[in-house]
This record gives sequence, structure tokens and C-alpha cells, in this order.
Amino acid sequence: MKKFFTERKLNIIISVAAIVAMWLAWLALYYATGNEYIVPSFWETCRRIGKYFADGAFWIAFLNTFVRTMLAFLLSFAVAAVLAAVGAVFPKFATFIKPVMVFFRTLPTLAVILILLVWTTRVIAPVAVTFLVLFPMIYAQFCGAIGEIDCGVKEALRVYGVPAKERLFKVYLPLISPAVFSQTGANISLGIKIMISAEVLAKTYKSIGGLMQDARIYFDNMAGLAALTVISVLLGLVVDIAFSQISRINSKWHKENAKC
Amino acid sequence: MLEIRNFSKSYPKTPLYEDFNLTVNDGEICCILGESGSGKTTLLNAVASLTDYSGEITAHKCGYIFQTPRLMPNLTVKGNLKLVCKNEAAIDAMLSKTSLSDKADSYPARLSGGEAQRAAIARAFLYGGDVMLMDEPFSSLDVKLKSQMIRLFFEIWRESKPAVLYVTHDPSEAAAVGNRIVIISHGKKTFDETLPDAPPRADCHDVSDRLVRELMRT
Repeated sequence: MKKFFTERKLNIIISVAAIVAMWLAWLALYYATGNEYIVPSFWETCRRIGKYFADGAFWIAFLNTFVRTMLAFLLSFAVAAVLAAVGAVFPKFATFIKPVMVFFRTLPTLAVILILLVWTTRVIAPVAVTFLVLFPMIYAQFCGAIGEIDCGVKEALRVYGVPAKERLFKVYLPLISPAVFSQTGANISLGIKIMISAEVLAKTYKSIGGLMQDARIYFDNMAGLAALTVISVLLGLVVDIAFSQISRINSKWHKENAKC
Repeated sequence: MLEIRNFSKSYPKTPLYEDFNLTVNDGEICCILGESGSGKTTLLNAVASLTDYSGEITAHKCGYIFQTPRLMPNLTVKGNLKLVCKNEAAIDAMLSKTSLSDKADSYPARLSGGEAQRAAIARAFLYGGDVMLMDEPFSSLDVKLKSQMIRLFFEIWRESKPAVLYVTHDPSEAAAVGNRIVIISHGKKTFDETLPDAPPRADCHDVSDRLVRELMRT
């Protein structure tokens, strides 16, 4: 019995139990309220999910949301990487940018969306606000990873006159990549959440957020809204799992170190 | 050759060196002895341009064997050596000399302490500096391993005989390894003597005892 239930199997069973518990809670809430417009039926929600998947317009909206999220993420990643690298080489720059990052981190997201809707368009505003949320987070992750590089390693590279290009591509980037890439899935999942919220507020045309807003306005019953919410959650989950698998195959040396 | 002229270095509230002078010729292994905090490592770091100082130090290219191996954890042993030398044949020869040929594709995390320090020695000598800096390189090794490392170091050193600045706090190690011993206290040389016979010395108890007495006097 003990051998059958390995640690990994036990963790899977516990995770499945949690999902089943959430499903049972949904059913309990539905039967307790007895009102489709407050808590939709699970089965009706599943039927609506099937209907969306069969609808070409949904997939266009889905792709638009996903592509915009990836655009915001890649922009945040690139800018954060460059600024973190500059900060590592010029510590005074890192000091200068610190209060700027605090400002970005504490900006109230919904207020920013409303401001950006005045300055930009319904399509650009969600991308901009997703960038503003992800960028300080990813910058902090880069700084943390760079800070973890052993000073001894840096000194050895200096003493042995290793050219800057080799230092960057053969040592520094590989050393920081496990820490940075392990967070990529979570960062993109968060980006999806922010993007959809922004699209709902901005009523962005042909987007998941836009579909949610339509479902609410046209009183398409709660099942439609719940269906889109479940789809968004599933999308975030798939992205998280996909990138955690990618980050696992990323660095052999990191796995070797972990074995020791 | 290594020339240190009018070398001065101080930390806030802690003056370390003032107008310190030292010359180490090619073929000379100069052991620096001193109590903890006397600035031995600071001297090495200044020679390696890892710290600011005032004065003049002529050392164009320095290999440095640190107290810990300081290998790049994401590169194999061979990868670490390739950072300092692009000549594959030279790398393979050095791996063979340091008995690391079968560990060439291993990552540092998989190496024992002795193997990692051998890789650090290989890297330092492959770099081909005219000065070799060594900061208590064998202090973390057991007696048997230390003796093997010292033998290995001399085998490789004899091929090019660069000037060596060897820092240690162990008088018996200094007596075994150095052909010149310098004791530093409060930034000044309190003892500077060239020993008559060539290292490594198997029997160095007398020298070691003398050094202990000199250290106690500082």
C-alpha cells in the first residue's frame, strides 16, 4: 500500500480532490440559491463552453486576447531585461529606477485603464495596462536573479579577462535563466487575467473581455459569463503548465546541481 | 615578474598598507604569512585589479587560484577551461596533467573538493599569466589531499615557473611551498627571507618552527 502511494501519486490525488471539492461547492451553491441568474448551472455552463468552442467568432476573440497578452508580456520582458542589465552594470541607475518601479507597482490598475482609455484606444489600453502590471514584476525577478550570481564567479571572470560578450551569453544569461523562466508561466497567466479585466472595462472589440461584457449587457444569463470565466482560467492553467515544462528542459546544469 | 611599489590601501577607519614594496621574480614562490585581517588577500586582490589602491603594481596577466574553486556552475570542467583558453589540444593536455580527463564533461556540482580545486589550478595555468596568485588554495582540503595538490602544483609550475604570490596562514604550508617567506603585520614586512633549498620541502619542521616564532613576535 505504502509503495503504491508514492509522493507524486499522493500529490496528484490531493490536487484532484481539491478540484472535485470546488466542483461540489459550485453544485452546492447552485442548489442552495436555486437561481440561474446568480449561480449558473454547471451543466449549462459546460454546454455554453461547447457552444463557444464551436463558434469561429470566439476563436478570433480568443486569439486576439492571447496575442495581445503575449505582446504585452514580451515587451515587459525585453524592457525589464535591458533595464536590469543596465542596473547591474551601473548601480546608480538601479537606485534611480527604484522609486519608478515602486510607482508602477502601486498604480491602481482599474484607474490606469480609465486614464489610458482617454489617451489611447480600446485595443492599446489593455496592452498598456498589462505591460504596466507585468513590467515591474519581471524587472524585480531579473534583479533578484542577477543579485543571486555569486560574487566569486564575477571576480573570477574579471581576473581571467573573459570578454563581456562571453560573460553575458556563456555565464550570466544561463545563470539567471532558471530563476527567470520558472516564473514565465505565472507571469503570462497573470497577464491574461489583467488583459481580460482591461478588455471588459475597455469593451475591446473581438476579445474575451469584450465577449464577457456582451454576455453581461445582453443578459445572456450567467452561464455564458461563467463559461468565459472557466475558459480564461483554463487558458491560464495551460500556459502555466506549458511554460513550467519548458523551463524544466531549459538547463541541464541546473538539474545536475539540484541532484547534488 | 611582479613589482609592487609604494602600495597603499586603507578601508574606512582601518589603515592597511602604506608605501608597501615587494618584488617577486620569475621562478620565485613568495609566501605571504600573517595573522587574520593583516591584509594578505587584499594584497592579492590589488595585484589582480579587483580592488582600488594607490601605488604602482606591474603584473600584466595574473592567474588566480582562489580559496574556493570559483568555477562557473553552468559550464562543464572543459567549458570552464575554454573560457580562458581556446586551444583544444592545450586544454586536453592540461586535463590529463590534472587527472581530470574523465571529468571533462562534468559540472562543478558533481566534482569533489579536490577535483574542483584541480580544475581551478588547470584554469589558472592554462590562462598563462606571468604571475600566479594563490589565496590559501588548499586550506579546505585534508592533509593527504593537500599534499597531492601541492605536488600537482609544482609539477605544472616547473614547466613555466611564473612568479608566485602565495598567501597562507599556515607556517608549515609556507615552509613546504615557498622559496621566499614574507611575514606581514599592520601593512609592513616584519620578516623577509629567501630559503636556501628549493621547494617542495618534505622536511620543513625547523623552518616551520622559526616562522611560528616570528609570527608570535608580531
